[in-house]
Amino acid sequence: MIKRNKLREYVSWYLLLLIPLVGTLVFNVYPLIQTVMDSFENMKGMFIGLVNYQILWEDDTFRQSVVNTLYMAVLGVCFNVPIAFVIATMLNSVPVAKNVYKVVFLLPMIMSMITVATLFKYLMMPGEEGVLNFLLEKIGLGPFNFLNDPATSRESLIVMVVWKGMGYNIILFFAGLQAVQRELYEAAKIDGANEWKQWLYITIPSMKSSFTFVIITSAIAALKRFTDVYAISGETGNPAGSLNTIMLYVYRNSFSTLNYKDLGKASSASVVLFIIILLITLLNFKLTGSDNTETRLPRRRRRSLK
Amino acid sequence: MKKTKRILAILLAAAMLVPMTVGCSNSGEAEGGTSGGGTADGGSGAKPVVRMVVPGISEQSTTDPISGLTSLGLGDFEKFLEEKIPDVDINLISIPWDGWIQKIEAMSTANEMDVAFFTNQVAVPDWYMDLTPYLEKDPDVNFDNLSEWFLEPAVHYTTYKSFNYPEATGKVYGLPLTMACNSIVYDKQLFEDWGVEEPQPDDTMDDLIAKAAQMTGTNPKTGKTNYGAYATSMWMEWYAISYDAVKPYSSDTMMLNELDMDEYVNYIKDSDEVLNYFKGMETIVANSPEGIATSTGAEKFYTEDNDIAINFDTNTVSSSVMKYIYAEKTDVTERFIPITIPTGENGQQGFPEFFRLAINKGANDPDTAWKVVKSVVTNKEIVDFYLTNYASDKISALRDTEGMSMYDYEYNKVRHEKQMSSVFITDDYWTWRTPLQEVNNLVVSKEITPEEARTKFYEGVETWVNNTKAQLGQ
Repeated sequence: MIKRNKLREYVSWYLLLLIPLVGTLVFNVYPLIQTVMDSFENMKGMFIGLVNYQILWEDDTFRQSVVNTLYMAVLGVCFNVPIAFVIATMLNSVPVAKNVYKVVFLLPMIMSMITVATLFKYLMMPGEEGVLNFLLEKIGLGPFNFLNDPATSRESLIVMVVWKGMGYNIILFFAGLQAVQRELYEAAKIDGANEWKQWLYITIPSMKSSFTFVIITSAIAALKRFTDVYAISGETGNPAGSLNTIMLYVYRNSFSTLNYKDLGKASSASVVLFIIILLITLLNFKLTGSDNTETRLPRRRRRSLK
Repeated sequence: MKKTKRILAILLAAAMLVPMTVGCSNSGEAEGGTSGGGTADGGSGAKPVVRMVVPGISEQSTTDPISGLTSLGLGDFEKFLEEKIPDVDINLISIPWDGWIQKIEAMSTANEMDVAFFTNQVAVPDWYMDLTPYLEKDPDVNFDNLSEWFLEPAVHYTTYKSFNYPEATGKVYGLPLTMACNSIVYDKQLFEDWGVEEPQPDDTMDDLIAKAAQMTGTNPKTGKTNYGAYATSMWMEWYAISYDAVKPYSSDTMMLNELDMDEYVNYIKDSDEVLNYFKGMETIVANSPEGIATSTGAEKFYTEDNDIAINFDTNTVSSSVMKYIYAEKTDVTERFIPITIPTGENGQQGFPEFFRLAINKGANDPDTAWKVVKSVVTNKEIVDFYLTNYASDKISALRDTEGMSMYDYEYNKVRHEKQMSSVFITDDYWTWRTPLQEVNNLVVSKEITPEEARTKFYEGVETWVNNTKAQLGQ
């Protein structure tokens, strides 16, 4: 009798879970499976094996897009995460007007990427028309081509991306900082630790789970970079393909009205991106120790406890 | 409480599943409708219904903030069509230009439309019906009189030809409604300031570019910085035709493995025409503002402060200049003058784009849909209405344009004359178009010399051909 009641309870929960499960199956799993299948087919749906992957392997444009994607992802995360954390720490220490500062840092995040990209395109216009060049000229520097020079376009884009995206990470870090036990700081103060040592030996270690989450989500978002590069360069990835990312490559080969549509190639590029994101996520978990290995007992010890 | 939770769970699950099953059954009904014939509203005896998709028309009338020109809304076009084709109930469905091809594809698959457009998409055999059976027996529009209805280039491009679907070679998936005719626009004021002769009708691309190159620097009259030219990588590949750098291709079978590699690929390696094309493009880029790589730098074009002498960005300026002409903004049109794209020695130029009206494979009533298609594309009033209100950068594909109000404008007559004789006629251009687009991205970014560009173009074409052969199993 008790077992039947339990079963009924479980069935209710599973029925409730059916809703998001069906959504996930329909909108995530099925498209993923279909994409993998498409990657082995040509335009007419004929199976061609690994031909699309071979084409991808030999395609300089795709290789460039992978390099650009990884480079901008590393650069973006390396700047975004520490800057966001430092600002969050400062925000946490401010005695008054915390909410005002939170709004100020969050405002870029709520602006649409197209608006931000248009803004930065004109801020960074080459020559005297660009606001940045106008200001730099006053102090005897420039003019620079920023987004129009392949040598500086990726870095200029990352400035824009960090400006826009760090508000979200600031809020996440700020929330994480609230969970750090106050007693630790008090104890450290009693022991004579200054603020810098408290920050280094208490704050940062206590924020490990926040760092893991922020790094992983930032990395995934960076690897799927599309809207910002499309807003700046259109589907060309100009200048000279320096802003060409894997997602832009996929878009150009599947949705572009100007380009030859090659769904097989686009699907295989999507699968490659999926694998890259998966590997980097697993690597992130390993490096940040979030696979729980350090909390598990050694196997011999676990057996003896049984 | 547990019972309530269980009931709630069942209700929520059902709420999720019911819409999905309803969606599936709807597409089933549409397929049944095709075989059964009749009207979309269940055969009540009313007029037959045809659902027609038109991209880029807004639901309401809009006024362009720059030209002041009013574009009519979707309802106005629907009303006009029903006046001209009174025995059919035409339901227009508007979709935005952004992603229009994917939307057409999705709507075709879901049988949500009967009639729609296509341009040069190779996948049309998957979406649309072959109109050959209609063209073989229709008394009004048929294979025997197509050349009487439409211009020769338009007739050529009604026949489907693609390397990807050689089995569909020769089929007809749509009838032409519009024809592209892009323009280059120059600033007469700057020509006068610099004392450079204005473009002449028989100027070649090199002549135009040479004129542009004379106007980069400090304007002798105003003292402001001027740029002789402006272009973006988008559509730049079509100037290759004006240099005879690319060749028209003709095939009865469209089997890629029959392509003569020496004639259509290897020639690029040593071609003077290809080299001259890249030299021309390099000169345009050298005389353009720095921002052309990201399509910035021409924001002041059409304004008092314009600093660009010749705008070669035909994709952008073609429709905007026509809007000013139709709005009779003489303060703009007397200064910014459009010209057609120069031809090469082969007498050809431009982008062979034809908007063709087609019947969806799963159309509810194909016979009525055919009636709508042939009526729309051959009725001068309908074509005129559509072009004037919704597609001002295009011109008519009809041979006889007598009485069409758009040809009251002198420049449209010039465009029509030009297209009658100089449209690039080819059975395929994808072999060279995609590789050329990629090379031009490097050209506008000043990352490549003309000689390197030619080598890269050759490698790109060769790779495209070999990759496509591998994908097609040829």
